[in-house]
Amino acid sequence: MAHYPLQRRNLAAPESNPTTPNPDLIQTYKPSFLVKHLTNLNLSQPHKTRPPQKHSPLIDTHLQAKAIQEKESSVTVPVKRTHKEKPQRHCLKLERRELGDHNDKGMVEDAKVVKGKPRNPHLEKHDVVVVAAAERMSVSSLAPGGGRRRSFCGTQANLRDVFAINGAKMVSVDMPPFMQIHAVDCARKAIDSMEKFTSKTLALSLKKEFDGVYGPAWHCIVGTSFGSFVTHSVGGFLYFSMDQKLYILLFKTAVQKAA
Amino acid sequence: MSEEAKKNFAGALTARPNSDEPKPAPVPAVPPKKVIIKSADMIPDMQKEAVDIAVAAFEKYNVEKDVAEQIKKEFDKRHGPTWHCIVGRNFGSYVTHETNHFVYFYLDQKAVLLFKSG
Repeated sequence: MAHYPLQRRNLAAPESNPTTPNPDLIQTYKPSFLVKHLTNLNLSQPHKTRPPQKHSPLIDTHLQAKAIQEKESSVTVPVKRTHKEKPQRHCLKLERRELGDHNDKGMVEDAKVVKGKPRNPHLEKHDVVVVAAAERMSVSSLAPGGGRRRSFCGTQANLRDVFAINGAKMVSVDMPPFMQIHAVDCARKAIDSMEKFTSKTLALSLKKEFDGVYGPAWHCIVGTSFGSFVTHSVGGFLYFSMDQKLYILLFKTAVQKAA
Repeated sequence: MSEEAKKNFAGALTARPNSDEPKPAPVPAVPPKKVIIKSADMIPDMQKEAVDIAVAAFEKYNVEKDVAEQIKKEFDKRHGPTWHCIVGRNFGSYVTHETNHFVYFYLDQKAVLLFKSG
């Protein structure tokens, strides 16, 4: 099997915004034989987490933004609490409850999407990942951690609070909690810093942030109306909504060295 | 070469609202759909193949994720793993793909993004 160097590409689909009518479609076809500049994927920035798994197994994930019709009232949390003194067992219990929530959501989704593919195998994988993540987080909390990491117990206890503050709702997850929080925070900051919101700018911000911190290669899709079917690495998948109608898909694939 | 290749596309295009038929009905004699290749880093034969598979998938399925599933699985089978497919009316993206394995096209009002990575 041939191995190809990776290239990055950015694009956006039309937005149904009546204030900016643009009926003319711009056709920009470019011959495939044009020489492309190869991207150097060797990052100079040191990784604060374990290096990416080059040979990790891949999982097929199936989801549809339109099918999700759930509505959730926003909650304002004035103070962010930290419970660093809680015992580990209690935190693990919190994780299990989170899994239960995901299971419930999964079942709801299955009920709404008649043709949908059952998600049980995916959730089973998620169980394994969460256990592994918990172990890693316990170990890393002993050493002087980097700025991007959060304490194990604090992360668990504040997971819902962070999502509620940012108006985020997890639709489908296969990712450690601290990375989920990182994604939501990054998305919120990117959205707030834009004068005029564009899906591809948010996608660019998230992908570059995750490529830089957790290693290549990440992919990001942002929009209000899209369906997808992708294969992702274990522990590298997140599909969530923000502000009720915006959906964000962030996932990772293994990188193969160029031949 | 360490230089990073980026392509900046035109601003978001407005999709015409189609309230009469939000989803194409599966009729035997369907008129040919309008196909526009917005961007491609793929050999022409493979592009044609992607469009044909997408047209067939849209005729067979109404839900976007089923269309995406059909396209991705077909390409995984024909051209080896690992492919990813996004289908929809409104989305922006930023992805990393293998050379010569990327296509982004419109099929009437729906955009299809298909690329290989991993």
